[in-house]
Amino acid sequence: MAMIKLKINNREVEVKKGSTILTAAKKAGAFIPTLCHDERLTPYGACRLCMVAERKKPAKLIPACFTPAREGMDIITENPEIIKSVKKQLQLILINHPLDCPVCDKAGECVLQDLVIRYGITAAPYKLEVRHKRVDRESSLIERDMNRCILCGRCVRICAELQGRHEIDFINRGIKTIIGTDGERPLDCDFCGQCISTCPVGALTDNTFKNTTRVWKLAKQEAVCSQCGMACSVDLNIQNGKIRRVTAPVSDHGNIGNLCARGRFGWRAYEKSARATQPQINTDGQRKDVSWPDALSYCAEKLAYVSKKYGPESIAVLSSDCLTTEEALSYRAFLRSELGIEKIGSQTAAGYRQVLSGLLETHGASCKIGSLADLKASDIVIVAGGGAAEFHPVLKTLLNSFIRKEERELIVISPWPDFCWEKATLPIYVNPEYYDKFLLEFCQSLEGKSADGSCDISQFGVPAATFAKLVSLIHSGREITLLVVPQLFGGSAALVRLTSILHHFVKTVIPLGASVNSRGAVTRAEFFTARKAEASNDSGNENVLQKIKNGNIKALYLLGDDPLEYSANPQEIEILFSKLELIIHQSPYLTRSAKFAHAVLPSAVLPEKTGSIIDMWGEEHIIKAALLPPPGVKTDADILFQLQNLWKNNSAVVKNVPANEIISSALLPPARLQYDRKQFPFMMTAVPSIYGDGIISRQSPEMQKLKGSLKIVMNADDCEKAGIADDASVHICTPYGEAKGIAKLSVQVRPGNILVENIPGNAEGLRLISEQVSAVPANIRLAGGES
Amino acid sequence: MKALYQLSLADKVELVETDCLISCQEGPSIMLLPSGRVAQVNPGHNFTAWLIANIAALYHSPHRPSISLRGDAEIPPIEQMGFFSKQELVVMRNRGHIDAENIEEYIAHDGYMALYKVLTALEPEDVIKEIKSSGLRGRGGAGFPTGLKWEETRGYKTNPKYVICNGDEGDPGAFMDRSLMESDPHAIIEGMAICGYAIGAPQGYIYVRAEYPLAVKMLQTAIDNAVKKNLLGRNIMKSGFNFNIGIYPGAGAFVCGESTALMFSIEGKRGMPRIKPPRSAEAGLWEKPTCLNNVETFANIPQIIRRGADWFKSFGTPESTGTKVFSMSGAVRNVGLVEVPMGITVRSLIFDIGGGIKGNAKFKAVQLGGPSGGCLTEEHLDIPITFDSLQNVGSMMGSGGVVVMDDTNCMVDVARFFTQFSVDESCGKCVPCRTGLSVILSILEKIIMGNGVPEDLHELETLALHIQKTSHCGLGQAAPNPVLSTLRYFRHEYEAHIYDKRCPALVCTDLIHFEINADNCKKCGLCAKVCPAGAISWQKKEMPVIDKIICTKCKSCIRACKFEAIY
Repeated sequence: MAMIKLKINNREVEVKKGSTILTAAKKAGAFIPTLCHDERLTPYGACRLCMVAERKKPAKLIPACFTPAREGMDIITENPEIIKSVKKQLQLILINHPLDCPVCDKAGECVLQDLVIRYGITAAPYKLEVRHKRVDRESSLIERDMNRCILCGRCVRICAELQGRHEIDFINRGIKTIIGTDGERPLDCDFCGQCISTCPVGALTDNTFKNTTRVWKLAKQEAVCSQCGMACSVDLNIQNGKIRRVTAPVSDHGNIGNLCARGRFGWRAYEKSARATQPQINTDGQRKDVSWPDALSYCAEKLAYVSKKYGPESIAVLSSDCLTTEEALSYRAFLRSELGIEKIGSQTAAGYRQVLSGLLETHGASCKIGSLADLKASDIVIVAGGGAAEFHPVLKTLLNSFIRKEERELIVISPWPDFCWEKATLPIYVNPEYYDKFLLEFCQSLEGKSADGSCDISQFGVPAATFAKLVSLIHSGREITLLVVPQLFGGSAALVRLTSILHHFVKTVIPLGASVNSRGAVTRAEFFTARKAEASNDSGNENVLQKIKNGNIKALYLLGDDPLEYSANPQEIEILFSKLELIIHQSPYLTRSAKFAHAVLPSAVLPEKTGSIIDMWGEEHIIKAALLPPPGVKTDADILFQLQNLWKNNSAVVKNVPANEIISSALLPPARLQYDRKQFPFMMTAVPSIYGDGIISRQSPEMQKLKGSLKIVMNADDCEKAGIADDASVHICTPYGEAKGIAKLSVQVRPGNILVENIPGNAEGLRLISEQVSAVPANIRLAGGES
Repeated sequence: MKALYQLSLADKVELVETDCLISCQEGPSIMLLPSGRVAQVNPGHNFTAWLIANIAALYHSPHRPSISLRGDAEIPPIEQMGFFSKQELVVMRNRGHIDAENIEEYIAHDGYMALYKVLTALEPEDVIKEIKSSGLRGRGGAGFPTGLKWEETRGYKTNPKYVICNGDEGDPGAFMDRSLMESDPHAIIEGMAICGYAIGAPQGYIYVRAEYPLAVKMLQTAIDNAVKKNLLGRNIMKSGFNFNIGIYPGAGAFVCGESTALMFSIEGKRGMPRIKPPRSAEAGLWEKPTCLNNVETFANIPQIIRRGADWFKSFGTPESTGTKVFSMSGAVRNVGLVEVPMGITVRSLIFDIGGGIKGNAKFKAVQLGGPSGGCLTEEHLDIPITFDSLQNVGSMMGSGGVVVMDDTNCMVDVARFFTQFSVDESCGKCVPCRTGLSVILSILEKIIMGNGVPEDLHELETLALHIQKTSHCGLGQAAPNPVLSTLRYFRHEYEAHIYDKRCPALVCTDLIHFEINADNCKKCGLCAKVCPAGAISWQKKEMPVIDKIICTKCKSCIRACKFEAIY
């Protein structure tokens, strides 16, 4: 990249060609006031504060935020003319800005406030009749007070440029301009809060923070968001040991200040009220609170007992991958050496594990698992699967920035029109019924094995021309990054196969759907790569359930994971659970399995731990405990440490503990039903929710409120035919079960398809699906009415 | 036609409905070609009867001068009328001579010859060279050299490129683009096609305000006809050159005349100017190289190509070549569109062509360039009209609106009027234009209401300069011009409003006392007769008395009084 040299306030700096004067000035350490500038966004030039001048023409003001620096420029950032202009501008802004700083949450970190102090604006010489504008207090999480708005447009731009949502925009013009939604309705968006993060004044504020404290009383603690595998950098704003809000530093970390709803507003999941805080054991059907030593010795004894009696194969461990890498290594060592357990499965990150293990299996050490830098540097991004940005919402900002540059391609192969699909330069919609089949066909054509060179792709709903373009782009020799998005439920065998074949054509592969430390758990702690050559394409859990059913597994150690919330057919699992001799529920939360657990061990959440994690891009983050665990909660490391001590002392002692009553397997529903396809005219796909389906997101009251109950998204025409209105309460049934939910009309969803959100954790919803297939036939009817 | 049959002239005379003959005060009228003699209609006259009478009269007595039914003296043929004799018709050469809906008539007037010449004999570079050497500067107001713009756009390699014709004419009192689009749409289309050939663009857009439905219709008809004749579309005149034109009706925001806002508007986005760089020539419409020119600029192109740059340069001054169309309105006798060579003096424009001030009132000021321009006074009457000379005295060519004012105009009120327009039309993006103009407006309103204080003048001046200096786009940068120029040349009027609480032109209602000046009053009672509210009581040979409670301040009395006795 060519560099140019220029002088800022007599100081020589060198910047990249095309950089703005503002960038150069920052490099030179010169201060230039700005209100409408945000490094994450393209310059806009609305506030007109950033005026500078060239030394030879001191009276000609140049806006620094978007004027490119030229070789040999001699810029001065402050002279009487400039100061006069800035002052005048601030005075003009203050006309339309109420001085309600005492009741404004922004006070103390308000850019306008700082500038007014800096330039000593003491009185506004102008008076203008200012109309009162609307304050939006109806939207959840975000309050919009247009009276405070200075119309810098940052919220509008961040919503459009980075989120790709266009939820808000300018309305009216001239002095009557406001920023709002169409028809002044409350916000109905991703609630990423990006608009709050960029607002320089108090026009957009965080409802969860509103009136709780003053910002200068907060201590910002660097941390890593644990809501998904992106592991975004966050600042926990802490007062008296409690989180008050979450912000993100605009730094060079992957998320560069961007966050999603879960990361920004989901922090109440870390609060004591959402947590399990008391160790419990369940003996003789009686759950009782016990002390930590009692609980742990119970666990140690039972583990030793099961291990002795049935052998190491009889104990299964499932992890939600929220352990730090150090913890994961310790657990791996303990479980391997003391109990002989080789594999630590996961249900929450099942899809991720499956894809990653498939890759490791096929390609071993030469596996091209990529990083964020690879993604940014590539020419083409292929997203294989639906729901990429729903799994990892901050991915939206990355992909939106990615496609803004010329000549880049975003190819999305998805069985439903998700966010990425809508933004793709080559969107490929595949009929969900034949999604797996299409992937296999695609594999064959890439391998050149297709029967007549080109099979009839149109049967999958893919136009032949589109497919041809896809194939030609893959063979174009440009640098490709492949993002693999596993299904929320259902086997990913076809996807794994496709991934390993596409691996030859691409520069890097990045599997999505990870939990915060999934990559660390797999690559570093070997949670998953089995030493023994065992049937490999399972993520751990499906087999575990099968083994329980077969009676091979007698004890289940849940490290934050919960099969009851993340597997199809939870009734069956409930029944299976009651067959087990031991269930240890070690988790920060009392999720569904806790009810069936013999021991509940409340563990700490990530902000309460110290250690390191590896995000899904492969970047290692060192984390430092920002919070103290609530009383009664121990970190997973602590728990293991004490368990190990007890183990050493007690391993010889094996007490005979009475077994639970075993329920006849005859009660179990058959695995696969026979059904008439005509009864189920629709195809249903379980899709991830942007507000998070992970264990942590689901504990946040804010996210739960946004998610609501089961959301059944249907094509608008289908709805009309069935007489279903938006937000109507409907029943959806599949061959596996029936559930109630709220219908949402969509023009994007194809006719005949149904998308169901919020299934994880929803007992009714989980009954609809099957672990074997990604899409299931379904039918729908209005609640209380007939089909 | 009925009229022609009645006169049994149907085979000798063709009656063609044409666009405005561009002398607004003379219309509606008929012109008999080739003699060019004109007959006017008397308002309220039976139109068909009038037609019959006049066609017959014009046809049967070839030596008779033109006919005026308004009781004026008989008027000379069109070329000899004072209004027309000083004009140079280049852009408007076809006005009134052709039926705009009939492409053959345009072709008969050498239409599409320039395009033919370009496609058969010239390389794109030659076209650009020719335009550059003609010295043609953008007629939209800023006066950027057209040839340079084309050359720059041609220089970028990204494809496709676009040609945009800016027909978003929004200045109050400007209607030349409208007239051109309605009367000679093919000239614009031809100009655009030549531009497309020169810069290598296959697609053009005409952005017209939706308030010009006739222009939209004429342009659409013209495009359709041109496509039928293979003068647009694929492989034009078998040359291998493809060019299509689409019409985009704009919703009427003034700011959409700004090129980047206009492009956003075509893209379906909010019409707001964006930052530059990149310039439109590099990344304009849909971030592709785009060449945007004004309607009048494009209408000039075919003739420059056909007759050569030297011919074009023979009009105007070395820096500002060619002619310029102005729409003259206000207090002049002859209102309407005039096309004059650049460099003509303001005086000649107003007094020779405009025919002087209506009703023999005194000339006071002329506002050039609409809300973005400034007011000029008597002392500027002899400056030549060129892009640069106007800028030097605080005004601008703008799109070519000329509003002439006599001494019944209050300059503070004029400044308020234009500022109000700019406030309404500001897009609201940048602070100085959005808020600053509103503050200026509020100060002007304060002064007009009689609440002005001496500091206001200083405040107006500094704020106006601040807005001029720091605004983002041309709208904001030029919006303070009316205030600044009136402050510069008519400061005494502001001072009268502030210090004496008096409006010298008796326009600002709040500063009029509505009382009778006994010295001037001749006790004629005319004021009492015209008062619609019955607020003036008058007895013969008595001084009238105005009842201020009943008075609605409509100023009818002031206008009626011949002795300036009401103040």
